[in-house]
Amino acid sequence: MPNLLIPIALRPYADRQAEIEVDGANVRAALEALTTTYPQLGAQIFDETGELRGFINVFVGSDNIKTADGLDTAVKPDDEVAIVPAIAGGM
Amino acid sequence: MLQISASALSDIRVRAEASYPYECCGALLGAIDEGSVTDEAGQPINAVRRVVETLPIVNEAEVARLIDRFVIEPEQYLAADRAARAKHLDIVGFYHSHPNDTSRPSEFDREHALPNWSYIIVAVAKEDGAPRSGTLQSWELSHDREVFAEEPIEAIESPESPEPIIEAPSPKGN
Ligand SMILES: [Zn+2]
Repeated sequence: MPNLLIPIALRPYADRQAEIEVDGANVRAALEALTTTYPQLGAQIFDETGELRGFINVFVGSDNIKTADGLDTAVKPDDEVAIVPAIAGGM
Repeated sequence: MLQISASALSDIRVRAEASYPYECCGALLGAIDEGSVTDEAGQPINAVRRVVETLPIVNEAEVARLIDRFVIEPEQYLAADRAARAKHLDIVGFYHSHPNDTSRPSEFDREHALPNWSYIIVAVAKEDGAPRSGTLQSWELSHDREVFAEEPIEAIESPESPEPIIEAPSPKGN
């Protein structure tokens, strides 16, 4: 099963785990499996309309899914899938 | 609560002044102690984040927005995370400056933040012709993402350099 890497700020919502094995043939399915188990984590990475928040990125291996097929990006059983925040702010 | 040394705070102020009139940004590296008190959903509410060092990061906002935006791209986040882990540290938060503004977070700041991290904001403005940092505050996003509340900053001593791996032989005899 693909291994999902959780950034430290989101670990309190996932029983403090840094890595979680999830089932899923694409990123959407993998994230759904994760957020069904940990709905509080889902509320941080998805907005009210169910879209991934703009500053939340997902990498499959070293590739950002924004430059691949988005949430439909395929995930192989030995892939590492990382949730990676872009940090932004200003005034 | 955020624990940080005076020298780390001074590093942030120096960078805010050097970047003026543009925003500076960077990561806070250290350790998080989640504490033992949780809310009804089991989430930490008295975590202590201790900063060991600050890591400046190039502001990747588009040039026209450098005066009021900062962007740390995901690749930069990954690099900062790798740098932290190589030192057995974690990312405990981020800092940025507000040129010609207060050290309070904007709505944009809140929308792009995550709970469980500290967000330092330092105001910076020109004073007698030179950029001068002003108020500096740290902010923490509530678990429901609604409230960006100020958190106390506790001054700590600058972390000592790590213990030497090979110790000097102790004098024998006597
Ligand atoms: Zn800001």
